[in-house]
Formats: sequence, structure tokens, C-alpha cells
Amino acid sequence: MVILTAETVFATGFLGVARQLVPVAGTAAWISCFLGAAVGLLVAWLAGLLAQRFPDQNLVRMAEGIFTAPVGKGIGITFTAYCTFILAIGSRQFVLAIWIPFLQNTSPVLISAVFFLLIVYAAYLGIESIARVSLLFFTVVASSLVLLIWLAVPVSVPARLLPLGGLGTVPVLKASLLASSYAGECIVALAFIRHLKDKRGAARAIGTGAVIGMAVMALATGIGVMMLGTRGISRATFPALETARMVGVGEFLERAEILFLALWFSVALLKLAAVFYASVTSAADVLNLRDYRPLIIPYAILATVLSQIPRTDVETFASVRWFLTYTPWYAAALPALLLLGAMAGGLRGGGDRSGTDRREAR
Amino acid sequence: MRLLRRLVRGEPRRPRMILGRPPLPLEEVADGIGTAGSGALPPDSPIPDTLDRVEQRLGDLLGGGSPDVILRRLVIWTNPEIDGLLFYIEGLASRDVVNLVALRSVMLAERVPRMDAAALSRDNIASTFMTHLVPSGQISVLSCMDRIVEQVLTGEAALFIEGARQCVVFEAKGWEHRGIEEPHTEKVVRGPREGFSELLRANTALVRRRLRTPDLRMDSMKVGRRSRTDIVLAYIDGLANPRLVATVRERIDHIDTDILPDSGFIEEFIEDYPYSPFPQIQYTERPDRFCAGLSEGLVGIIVDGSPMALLAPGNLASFFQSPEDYYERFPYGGPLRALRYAAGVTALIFPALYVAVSLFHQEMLPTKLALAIAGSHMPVPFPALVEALLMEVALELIRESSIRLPDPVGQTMGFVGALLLGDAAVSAGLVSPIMVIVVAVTGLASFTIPHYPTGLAIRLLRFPLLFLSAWLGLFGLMAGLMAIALHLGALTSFGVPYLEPLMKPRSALRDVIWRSPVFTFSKRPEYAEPLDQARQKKFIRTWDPGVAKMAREAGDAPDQTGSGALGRSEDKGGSGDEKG
Repeated sequence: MVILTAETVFATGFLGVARQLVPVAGTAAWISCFLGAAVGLLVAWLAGLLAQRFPDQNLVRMAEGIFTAPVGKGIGITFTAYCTFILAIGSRQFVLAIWIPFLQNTSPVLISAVFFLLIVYAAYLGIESIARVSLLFFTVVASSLVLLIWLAVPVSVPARLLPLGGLGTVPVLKASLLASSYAGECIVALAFIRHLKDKRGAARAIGTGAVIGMAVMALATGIGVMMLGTRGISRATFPALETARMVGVGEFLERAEILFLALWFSVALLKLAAVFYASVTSAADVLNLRDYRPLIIPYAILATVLSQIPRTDVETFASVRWFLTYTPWYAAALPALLLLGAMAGGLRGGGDRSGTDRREAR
Repeated sequence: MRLLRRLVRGEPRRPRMILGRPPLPLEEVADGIGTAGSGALPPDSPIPDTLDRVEQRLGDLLGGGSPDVILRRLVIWTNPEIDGLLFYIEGLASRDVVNLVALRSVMLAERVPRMDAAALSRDNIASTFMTHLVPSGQISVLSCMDRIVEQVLTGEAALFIEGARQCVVFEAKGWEHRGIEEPHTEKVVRGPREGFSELLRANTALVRRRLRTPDLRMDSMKVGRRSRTDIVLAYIDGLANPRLVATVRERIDHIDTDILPDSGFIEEFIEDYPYSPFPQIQYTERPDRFCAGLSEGLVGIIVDGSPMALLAPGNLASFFQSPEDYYERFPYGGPLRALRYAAGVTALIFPALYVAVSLFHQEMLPTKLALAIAGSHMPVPFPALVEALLMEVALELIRESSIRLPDPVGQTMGFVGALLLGDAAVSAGLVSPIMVIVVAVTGLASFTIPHYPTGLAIRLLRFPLLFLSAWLGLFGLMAGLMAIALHLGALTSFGVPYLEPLMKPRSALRDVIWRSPVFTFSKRPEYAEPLDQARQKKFIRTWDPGVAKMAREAGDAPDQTGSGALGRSEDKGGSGDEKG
């Protein structure tokens, strides 16, 4: 759960996080990432409390139990919509990162289609398969990040991180609000909590994952600033990719950014597969379906189409900005609302398992 | 349209013709499979009253013209005179054993005791003879004809007695067989040279010789309606998880097939995902490896007639392990195993990586190397993908042909084929020298994988990765790898996740990707959920003062104190091992 949550937090966002935060907070953007992690910790704490109250239920069943069935379904629909947004924007960002510098002769729609084909396959196999592969690839990606830092140190200029306070306290706090949206994506873990063996450890697992994810974001931002400077970052489409472009492995691999991107692609795919799984299982619960699998193909088509709506990279980044501005509130409010409702009703969930759960259990 | 009409009308689908031969009606096929031929016996068929009828019945059952079916009349008692009929299969039963056990002892009346002839009846005469006349270790009295025939077809001999309701069946197995030889597929530089053979009893003996615990269980089973192949399910009681044992047994019980020529059949019948390219059950022809598996709580399957024993469950890591990893000292075992993993990845992706870089991402390479690749590719009329496919197919052809040929010729064929073909292909301008190097390195890397089917899976998956790389560059290669990884993530072997040992970083570094010293293996691998986790004491080398100190600190008092060999003093400090 730790790795899955960490990947959910950083896997698609860290390519462009510096571009979003540096113009707001300046050189202190990396500090904003750590401040933003507070929302992740809050969500983790609330999710942990919910998991203890409703150990064997997923989000929609929890909401239906706490409120009424129609309200619960409404909450399920908002959660599905939230996940769909992450899916569409996240996949679009990554497709652009692959398409613009490396595969300009290939249609981005085709790249999206391949992306979603893999996501569909992963969702079909289930969350356990995604989690296992996440564990493997997280090690690889973490090693790649360590390698990137190691290679970046000789060519970076640490003085570019000065002044440490950036553009001031208020801008840093504003940027941390944007960053908290990334941390808030750990709310997706609500869809997987019932798979945890130890429900009491849910808060710690999600919280740790969120902090690890935001630490990666902070690292990507800090290294980006040291390598490119604040001006360079505001000009770069994907600062993390630009950073990777500036390092070389001895005199053998001169431009290794495609290798790094290929590795990062793996975690991005796993994150989007997890989000896809969360949304499709929630949609199945809203529709009272015993099995989520019939929804996979229609939902994948819908998500592919939605991911094509922002046509240019400018439109894509505008959508990302919109998402970052408005969704932290949703991420924090959803578990808080459920918890308050449960406390008001004095509810404590039993072992009622939804149709999707039963299918998964088989 | 025809299919649609048939579906609408509800007509049954007509069976397809195979190679022009009209298929049998389903009923006939079912009858043919369900019985043991025209002479099949009903269950519990009794022994006929007279030897003539017995002879006639056996003739009906086994065909009168079979020269290897021996039915020999003899007088087994003279006062009163009692006739007997010895029945065995020549070639399966040892002539020496039959002569010694039956003919000499019965006909020459050696050691024939005095018996009260009047006390003999149809019901007890066989058991009397069994007790007094036939000096054999494994001997039984059977009254059911089909059981008798079944036993004789496994190499035993049967002695029918005139008028008796029962028959004496005794052990006489003695067919020609291959001796115990060095394993052909799992050779080691250091380690035992014994390998399983086709003889079930020899194989079980090899296992017993290594595992002398009374807890070793070898449950006998039979599979194959016609072949009636003997199978032994081996496990250590109190160590192997009973659920795993029950699952393996249940799956074998479900096998309903005609013949079972090899353990490979069992593997396909019982594995979780038969359509996956990855093997899910380990096989080995090394008794030492088999025993090591049993001691880790795995369940073994030995099939009569197959030198390959199975171990369940399997996982990806187990297919990259070689017994030699443990026989050599750990400073060599660890790096060699890590090298094998690296070789596995190389074998899978190297040609695809080359195609992706040369077609899509030339900017990655240093200018000199990029120019060298471009220059070498200049005279080649094909794109890199076709070039790679040509060489890969050629490599596979050489490999297959060298396997099928006799050993010395096969090796020569491999070398000559690879050298000549590569050189000729480069001279003819069909492939670039760099592609020859890439394919050669790939081939060498694939040879390092100790488990042959895993190597086959990697060879097979290399081709789709090549196509994906040629289509979408590194992105395509990564997409293919992710699909493979997701598939591996979903695979299980008897419910155990295929990637399980790799999921736990500590154990992965101890004995999966790396190999730590054997004295640190205090616990067994967890993936098979053995009932007894402890393999050995945590601190064994307590003669080492450093280890002894650690053991004392951990509350595990050492058995021996004082200096070690060669007068090593207490205050010299330990080597720091056994920390794990």
C-alpha cells in the first residue's frame, strides 16, 4: 500500500511539478512540496479512521451505509469523476512527454491507445497484480532517481536554490496548496483499503506513501531548480525530462533522458492502472454490478476520448492547473465528510462485502 | 452464415475432419477411451475355476499372439498333484527372478515344507503357497483378474493355482533400463553427479538415500487409463503445508487421460495457468535439488518413465537458481546468480533495445558509436528489424538443429553454423557485424538460464518485443515489458504468487537475487508456507569468538566457547558473519 500510494502521488506529476510550482514560489518550490504533504497526511489519517470503522467495505458501500443509498451513489460518482480526471490528465501529460521529444512521427492518439490498452490489461488482472509489479518497478525507478541525482550533482548549481525562502512566505504557502493536490491523490487508496490485511496500519501506510511521493516531487523540483534555474524551468515543458537531458552516463550514453523516461513510464502506467481500477470498481458499485470487468472497455474508451480533449500542451497544463487548484479540497473533504457522518450516526461497518468484493475474492 | 443458421436452428456443430480422416462418432470415441479395449474386464472380475479358463481369459485379454506374454504350466505340488500357471511379461519381469522365485523353489521343491494336503482348500491354497513356497520380499495374494493383469503389466509375476480363488503375485521387476548417469540438463562443476533415471524405484531410492527422515512420505498414485503410470507424491510430513499437498493430490486425481508418457504431461494438467508462456512448476533431474526442494516444504512428483521430477509450487526466482550456487562458496554463488538475472534480461531485451536505439533514439549514443553503427548498416539492404529477425531465426535454427543431433556433432554444428553463417551473412551484406554481435550476446545470455522452459519463454517473448521496438521505439519496448511484468504479477503457482520471493527485499537479497552464506539461512523460504519455518540455528559458527559474542547478546548461548581452530584467541574479534 505504501508503494502504491507513493506511486499514485508522484508518478505522473513529477515530470511537470516544477513548472507548476516554481513560478508561484520561486526557489522555495521544493519546500512547498513538503508542506503540501500535510494534506496527504490528513487524508491518510482520515482514511485510516474510516478503515478501522469499515474494515471490509469500499468507498461506495461505506458512503451508502453512512448516508442513504442515493447519496452514497452520488459520492461514488464524484469519486469516479475525480479518478477519471486524474486518468485523463495524467495519461495526456505522459503521452505528450513521450510524443513531443521522441515520437513525433507517431500519432499521439496511437500512443494513448497503447497506454490505455496496457491499463485495461492491468485492470483486468486486478489490483494485486498491479501492486506486485509496482513493488518491483518502484525499486527500479527509485534507483533511476538516485542515479539521476548522482549524475546531476557535478553539473548542478546549488546556489540556484537561494534564496531559500523563495518569493516569500505567502507564495510558498500558495504553492503548497497546489502541491497538496498531488498529495491529495492518495485518496485513491480508499478504493484499495479493504485489500489491506492490517486495517490499523492503513493510516500509516497511506501517510508514508504520500510523504515518499511528495519527497520525490520535492527532489525533482529541487534538482530541476539547481540544474535549470527558475527561468529555465518556466520555459521547459517537462522540467524533470530537461534535467535528465542535461546529464550523461560517462561518455557512453550522451542523452539518457529517453532511458529515464522509459523507466518513469512504467510507474506512470502503474499509477494510472491503479486509478483506473479504483474508478471502474467504484462505478461498478454505483451500478450495483457484481463484476467490474464489463465496465473496463467502455470506461477505457471514455477515458481515452477525454484524454484527447486538451489538444495542445498549453491546454493540457491549463487543465492540470485547474485540477491542482480545486481538487485538494475534495481530497480532504471526502474522507472527512464520511467520517463525520459515521460519527454522527454512530456507525461501525461490519463484514458486508459488495459484489465487486465478492468477485475479487474469488 | 452457415454457422448462424445452425445456431438459430439449434443444430449441433459437425466435427471437423482432421487430415482427411473422418472423425469417430463421439459415442465410439468415448467407448474406446473408457474401457481397456475389447477384452476389458468388469471391475472385481474373479479368477476362473480352472487353469485352462484362466489361460483362455488371459489370452483374450492380452491377445494370444503376443510373444512377450509368457504363460507357463508347471506342477507345483506332487502329493496331491497341483498344477500351476506362471504368468509374466518377458522383458518386464526379470527372468532370473522368475526362475529363482517360482521355478526353482516350486518345481525343484526346494525348501518345500510338509503340508497337510487335506487342509488345502480353494480359499487358502494361494496364501499357503505365498507363505511357504515363494521366497520374495514383495508378495501378495489377489483375487481380481484385472488387478492381477495390472500388476503383471508393471513387471510383477503371477502364479495361478488350479482351483484356487486367489493368485500369488510377487515382485519380479527387472527390465532393461538406463543406469544412474550425470544429469544432462543441469550439469555442475562442483556437486553430485547423480541424476534421476526412468526407473521410478531407483528415483525414489535416490531421494530416500538423501532424506533419511522417517517423515518423508511417498504416496503412490496411478494416472492414465491405458498407461496406468505410477506416480509418487513426495513431501516431508510436518514440514510441507497440508493444504499444498492436498491441492497437488487433488489436481493429480482429476487427471483423466489415456496415457502419461512423461512428467511434462502432469505439469500441463495441474499448473494454474497452462496458457502462460512461463513455466509454473519446477522440474529437475537432480536428486539433490529435488531433496532441497522437499526440505523447503515443496511437494515433489516423480513419474515412472520420466527422469524429470517435478516440484511445486514454482516461482520466477526458482528458475534462475542452480544447485551450483550453493555448492560453490558464496562469494562466487551470489555474483553468478546476479549475473544470471542480468543475462535473463539481456536475452529478453537486447535485440529489441538495439532496434529501438538504432531506429528511434540514435541521439543516445556517442557520436563515434552512432557513426560506427550507421557505417556498418550502410551495405545492408534491410531495416534493422528484418536484420534482427533474420539473425534471430538463424540462431534458433542452429540451436534446434544442434540439440537434435548427437552430442559431438551437435556441438560442432553449433560452432560451425554460428561462425560460418554469421561470417557469410556479413560478407553477403545481409546483416551488419554489430547485429551479429547483438544476436551472439543474446544467444550466450539465454544459455545461462538454468531452467530450459524459462529460457524458451524468454526466446519466445523476444520476438513481440522486437516488433514493438521497431514500431514505437523504447516506448514500445517498455510497453511490452510492462505487459510481461503485469502478466507475471498475476501468475500464481498453486495459489502462490509467481513473484512472491522477489516481493520481499530482505529475502530477495539473501537468497533470491543474491546468495548469502549458507550459515545465515536460519529460516526456510516462506512462499510455500512450510509448517516449520526454522531451518537451522541462527548462530552456528559459535567457535568464532565474534559470533559467540553475538549469540550471547542475542540470548542464544553458544554450544562451544573458547578459541577456534589454530588457536584463535577470544579477544581477536569475530569476522562479523551470521548477522542475518
